[in-house]
Amino acid sequence: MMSFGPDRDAGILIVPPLFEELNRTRKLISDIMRALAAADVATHLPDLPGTGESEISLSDIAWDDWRQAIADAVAHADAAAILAVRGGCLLDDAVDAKAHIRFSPVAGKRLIRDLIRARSLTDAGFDAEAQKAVFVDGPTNLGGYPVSTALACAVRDAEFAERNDVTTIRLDSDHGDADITVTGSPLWRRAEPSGSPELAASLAEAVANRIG
Amino acid sequence: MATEAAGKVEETLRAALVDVLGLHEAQVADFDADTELFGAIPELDSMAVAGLLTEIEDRLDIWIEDDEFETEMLETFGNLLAFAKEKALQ
Repeated sequence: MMSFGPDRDAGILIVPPLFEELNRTRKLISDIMRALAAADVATHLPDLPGTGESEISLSDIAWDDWRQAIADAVAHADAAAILAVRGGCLLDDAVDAKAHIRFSPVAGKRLIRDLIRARSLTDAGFDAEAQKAVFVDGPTNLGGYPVSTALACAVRDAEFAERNDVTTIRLDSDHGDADITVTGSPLWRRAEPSGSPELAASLAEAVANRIG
Repeated sequence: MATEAAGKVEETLRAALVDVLGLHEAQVADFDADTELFGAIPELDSMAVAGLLTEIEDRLDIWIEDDEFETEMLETFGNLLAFAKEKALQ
């Protein structure tokens, strides 16, 4: 787990985006962590099992392993607040924290469809039948990750946990309900995400205000 | 009125290209029907295209069925625009 900022306070546990969006938002997330550290707020970023530094293969990972990993990380870091980003917002239900903040939540159905479409664009053999097989006969390579059928189905069917205490932040161009909007671009779409100091600063400010 | 709605679709499409891909507004403003997209623009890799489609769905409030999805529609700006108009204005 990567941590930034002062160690004396409990800080914020960041639930990262899933699959390829994770890679594309690394810079944004580390910029947010630095900005919050500068505001004297600690942040912690766990690796989801099967991704990043984790030694387990993703094909052996079940949805509940990810939910459990987040619950464990919250307990380990003694985090007071959760900041879930994109698909990570589907994983924030297993824990209680003083504040739940979601940034640009994306439905699991959309996430998995983006990955399937992306592969179908470059792989002619990945036809309608192969696309259906993602959910019945895996694992399937999606965005560089071996995704098991169980995980693919779990992501597709995942719902956001209904909570009364959630603060939702979205980009102003984003669709869906939001409590706070920030100006910026969807960096998780970019082939070569360069980060955005302005977006990171706005997000850090919104988060710091919410938990302050 | 139909022309106005079609113009709105085109405007939305260009804005999505700027926002999603981080292209310059001036570059996207120069796109015409023959401008090649997927395979010709480095920012448009397969994940970005998938994201672009999702973004277009959101902004135009349309839903592209899996069996409607053809790679041809991403070959040129004209193809993509024609598809978006057909979906949004039907």
